[in-house]
Amino acid sequence: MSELILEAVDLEYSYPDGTKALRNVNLQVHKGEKLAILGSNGAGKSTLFMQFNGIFRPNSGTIKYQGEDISYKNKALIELRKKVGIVFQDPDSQLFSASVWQDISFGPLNLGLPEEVVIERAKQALIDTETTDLEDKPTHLLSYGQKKRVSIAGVLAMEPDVIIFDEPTAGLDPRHSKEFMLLLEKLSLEGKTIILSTHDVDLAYFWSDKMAIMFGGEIIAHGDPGELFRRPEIVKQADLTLPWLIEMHSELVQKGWLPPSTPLPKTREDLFRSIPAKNDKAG
Amino acid sequence: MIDIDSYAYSNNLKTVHPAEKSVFTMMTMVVCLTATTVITPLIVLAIMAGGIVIKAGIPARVFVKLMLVPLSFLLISVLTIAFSVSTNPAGFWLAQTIHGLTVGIHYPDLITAVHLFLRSLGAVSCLYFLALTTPMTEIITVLHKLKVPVIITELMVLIYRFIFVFMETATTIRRAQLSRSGYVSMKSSFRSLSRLSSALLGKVFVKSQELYNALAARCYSGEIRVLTKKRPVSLRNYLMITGFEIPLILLNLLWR
Amino acid sequence: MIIMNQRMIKRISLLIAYVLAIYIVFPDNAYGMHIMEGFLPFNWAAFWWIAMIPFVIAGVRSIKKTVTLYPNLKMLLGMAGAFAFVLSALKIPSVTGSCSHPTGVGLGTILFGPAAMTVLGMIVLIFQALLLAHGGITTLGANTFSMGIVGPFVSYGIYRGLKKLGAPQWLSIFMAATLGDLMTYVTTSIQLGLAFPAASGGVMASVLKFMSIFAFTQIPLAISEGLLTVMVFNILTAYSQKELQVLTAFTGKALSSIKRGVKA
Repeated sequence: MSELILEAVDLEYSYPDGTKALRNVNLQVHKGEKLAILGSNGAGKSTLFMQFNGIFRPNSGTIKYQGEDISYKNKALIELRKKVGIVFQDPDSQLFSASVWQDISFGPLNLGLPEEVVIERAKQALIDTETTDLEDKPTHLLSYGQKKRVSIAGVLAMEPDVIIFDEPTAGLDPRHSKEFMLLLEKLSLEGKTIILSTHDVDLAYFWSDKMAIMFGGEIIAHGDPGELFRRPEIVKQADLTLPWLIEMHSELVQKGWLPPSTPLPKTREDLFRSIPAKNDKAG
Repeated sequence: MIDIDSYAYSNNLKTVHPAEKSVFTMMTMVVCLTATTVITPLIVLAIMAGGIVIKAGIPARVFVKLMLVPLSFLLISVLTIAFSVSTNPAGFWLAQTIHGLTVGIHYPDLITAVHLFLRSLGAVSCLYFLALTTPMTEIITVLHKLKVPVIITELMVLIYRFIFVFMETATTIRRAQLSRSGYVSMKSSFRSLSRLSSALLGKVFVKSQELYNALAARCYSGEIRVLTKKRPVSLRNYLMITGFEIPLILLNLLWR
Repeated sequence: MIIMNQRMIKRISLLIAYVLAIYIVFPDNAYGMHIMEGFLPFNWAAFWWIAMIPFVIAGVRSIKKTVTLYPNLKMLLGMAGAFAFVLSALKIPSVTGSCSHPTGVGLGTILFGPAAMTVLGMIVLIFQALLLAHGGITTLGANTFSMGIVGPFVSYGIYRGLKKLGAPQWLSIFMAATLGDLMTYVTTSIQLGLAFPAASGGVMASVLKFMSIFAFTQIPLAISEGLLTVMVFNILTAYSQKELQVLTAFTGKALSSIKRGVKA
């Protein structure tokens, strides 16, 4: 197992008005991991993310980055935020400029990089998110999906080691969600650690290699996605449903189309491959 | 969403350096305002109409429609200046006296009104030239270069961006209200509008905190710094501007 | 004496006819009537620009001080400016049945204080000029002076003054918004009268002429704006207590009393 990169230890957090948002949260994130945090609305996913790069400060407990407690001094926070980037759910509350180019250059400029490097990074981010043709368009004339991609580019340009996506596919059409998943794959291959929150059980199941389920500000389960989805009581408690792949698999097993020993399919291809052709069965 | 704004991003002069367009606009505007003859504003209007329609490729129909926007203010104000009401019928150039009260026009007022009418139209065409050819983000860049206080340009960047976000929200809320028979009577209009305003204002509070968090996540530390697109500086354009302005200034000086 | 009285009555009835005529001809009092581009002679345009600058500098200083202490309020101010722009594009029903556009001067001043409103007002006027062709660049000084300086300071003075006198919250808000709106247009009329004195009667005659058009006709609209502002504050106090507290950074104690609630 690779080294730990981010860790939450006994995290407790309440909003200033007293609402308890996180209770006793413990979570380990390994370097290069694809972690999905699954939970219904209001489960505390976004609040937890804000802890990971020091925007919210826990009431008790700590966040560790590469094994060390993070510091809340200005300088240290900037160092941390350079390493841990967040793409927020609503691009309309992340994009502050009407110019795509200006918005993307904001992050890298804050890192104190020289202008040439900023330009280079911004260009690369535009290419990676396929937004090069949007560079000269004003933000308000972009579609929701385009805005979303630009907001991702703004974080990519900072080249963080850990990228957190809050509900990244909410509001994207199927084509753009698919493209987004490809981008995630590419980032993973580059060695980035990726955390994403979602309430899309299918996405969480097939994409992640680790999964955490949140409910009511707590992490009620953390582990291998296949194993977690085999525990119906957790899925039920978290107000979630089973991924269609797993439901289909268990249905096929139950009705005798598949032997009970068939491993859980991770992709639709896995599932389809495991279903025998009708002739084989009859013969 | 706003016509003028959309054209600013899709016209043929979009890539011309914003400083050149601003200098041209401001100089012509000053020349137009200081004109002592009615010819200057007419020439200015012609030059700007040409720039907007021929050079920038904005449809003539759009330009004419836009020129009509300030017309209600212009007509009311010009007529107010031209007409006087008095109990003394002396000195009127054109007047009608009813029961001892005279409504009419004094000749000097009429001259002022006519000059004013043309001068305003000339100046408005200058304003449209800048507004239709230059994206707002680039105008803000020019202001930044002119050493306008940073807090003003930063606020402008934010305001410009969120005008569109809130306009979208306002339109959605209004549509929802209309579909539930809001605005049918005076009372329901007031109620609907106050609900809409406070809902928007609520958004202002929530969104601004979200935006702050999002910017902080990108290492914001008090000043919004961004890179701006570099546009090529054209000596030819500056020469052309000089070529336009010098005859107009001479005309203003010599025609007395 | 009797003849004088008749003359007076005639004058007043003529004035009323005049105002009514304007209502009929221009039912939609377009965008609260900023002075359009190029309308002021060069010298007056320059004069109002210069008159505006010290207030803007003061506003910038005050905003800077606030946002250094609370950096998140910069975003709030930016969004408030955008809100003001959007609000000014909405139609407000007038008590006479016609409609106009709210200025948001009273609302903004009570929430953010007059100094911040000067800067926000100026920026919103720049956008109105460049995006909607309402107002202009050369007339920015004059328009900022009426809408971003006189309007807010009048609103603020009335709000504070009435509160001090122990007036109920709703009345203070109503008067601040109504008179802030009205004084904006009185200022516009004075600016126009100064720039274009009448051939007979001079500046005074001209100011009166403009007032009869831009200020008198504005009275019902100003009342509408006052009502709307009170209604908005009622909703805010009912649902947004927490947010209102944030704003004390701009207005000091002025706002803290709203905690106790507005009742109309």
